[in-house]
Amino acid sequence: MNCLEFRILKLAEPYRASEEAVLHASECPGCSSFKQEIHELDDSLRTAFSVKVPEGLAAKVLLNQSLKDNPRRPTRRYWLSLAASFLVAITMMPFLPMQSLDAEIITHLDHEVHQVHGKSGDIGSGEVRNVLLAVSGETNGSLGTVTYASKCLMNGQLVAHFVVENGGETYTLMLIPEKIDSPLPFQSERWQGLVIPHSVGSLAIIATRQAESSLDFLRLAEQYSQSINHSTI
Amino acid sequence: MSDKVITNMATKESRYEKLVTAYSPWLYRYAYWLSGEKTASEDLVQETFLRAWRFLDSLKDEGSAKSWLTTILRRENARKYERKQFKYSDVDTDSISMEPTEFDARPEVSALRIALKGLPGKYREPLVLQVLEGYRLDEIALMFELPRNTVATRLHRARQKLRAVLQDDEEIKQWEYR
Repeated sequence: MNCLEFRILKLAEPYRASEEAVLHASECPGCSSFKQEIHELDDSLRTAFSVKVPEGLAAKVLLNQSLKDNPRRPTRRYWLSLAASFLVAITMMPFLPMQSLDAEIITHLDHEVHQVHGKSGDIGSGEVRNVLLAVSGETNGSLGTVTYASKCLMNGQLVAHFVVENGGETYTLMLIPEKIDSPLPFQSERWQGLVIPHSVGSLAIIATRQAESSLDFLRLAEQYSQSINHSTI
Repeated sequence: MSDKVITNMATKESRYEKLVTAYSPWLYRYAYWLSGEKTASEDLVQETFLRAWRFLDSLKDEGSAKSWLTTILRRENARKYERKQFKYSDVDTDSISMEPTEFDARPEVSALRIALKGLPGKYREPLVLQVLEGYRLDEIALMFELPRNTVATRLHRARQKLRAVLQDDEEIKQWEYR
């Protein structure tokens, strides 16, 4: 084996070497240092190729699979907290009028995205209270940092629309008069979210698809659900 | 539904869960280097597993699951680009340095990553498989349905191009310090 043959082999498959190649490297200092250089290049490549995998990716795949292809698939291993009610929601999805609610939410968010985009800083509890009052709601505790609050018309009904910050992520929170029977996860090209039954209506929590995949929508929805009273609409 | 059908279904679900858990991280990384974008990578992984579920019965040997899934992902990616008439080179290579939390953000690693993004897909793809997952030349050739020598040439050229880029960077650095 000559130096050229050795180097061609090393560039194609650095960590595999025939006896001939090993012998050549032991006898040729130039090729031995070339081998070392290629190994270092591959070490750097390994670091460069490393990409952080979104947390909860497997759970998300399983959840979407169950929604799209097989409503009976058990997802409890990953979504213990959603368990029974979640499965019922999935099974019942085609029969519930709620199918259109997720589409309404998505349409509304797409429509308002430019108005909401770029807002920062807490707007203050007074404005939050006013918006909630308009939909017969009130806060029971703090919603944290609220950067946007508005009374909106969605499908002819008044809804409270907030943008909140929580744990470094931005969420949209909507208090909707329409009643649902069980939690409804949904997603579009831009959004991902969950609607849960809340008092006499429902509460939706939504994030962009760019947000971390590990977002625990159920926990957040429950957290906000406890902070908001929604007695009569 | 008969007991046998229920048992088969449970077995299929359990197999599927194991595949998703074991291989979704690898598929995401590979998808990232094919698509160049986080959301598109997640979508590719989702679509890959949706297809895998449909054809799971055709996977007879669990030992070849990773190659099987990787091949599905490559085909899904090709379909996607056919539909969108979208070329990899359309991806903004500058954007990768804007996400320091996703990567090792050291300058030398960023430079290498930009060089990788600049490589044509036919060179980058086999390199990802070989460097990240330790696939052998024969396995890559089988997956790509290409002669072994063609894959060897692509890997050889990929490393040569990267060395050239890194050497240029090194020369520029030395020049700056003069």
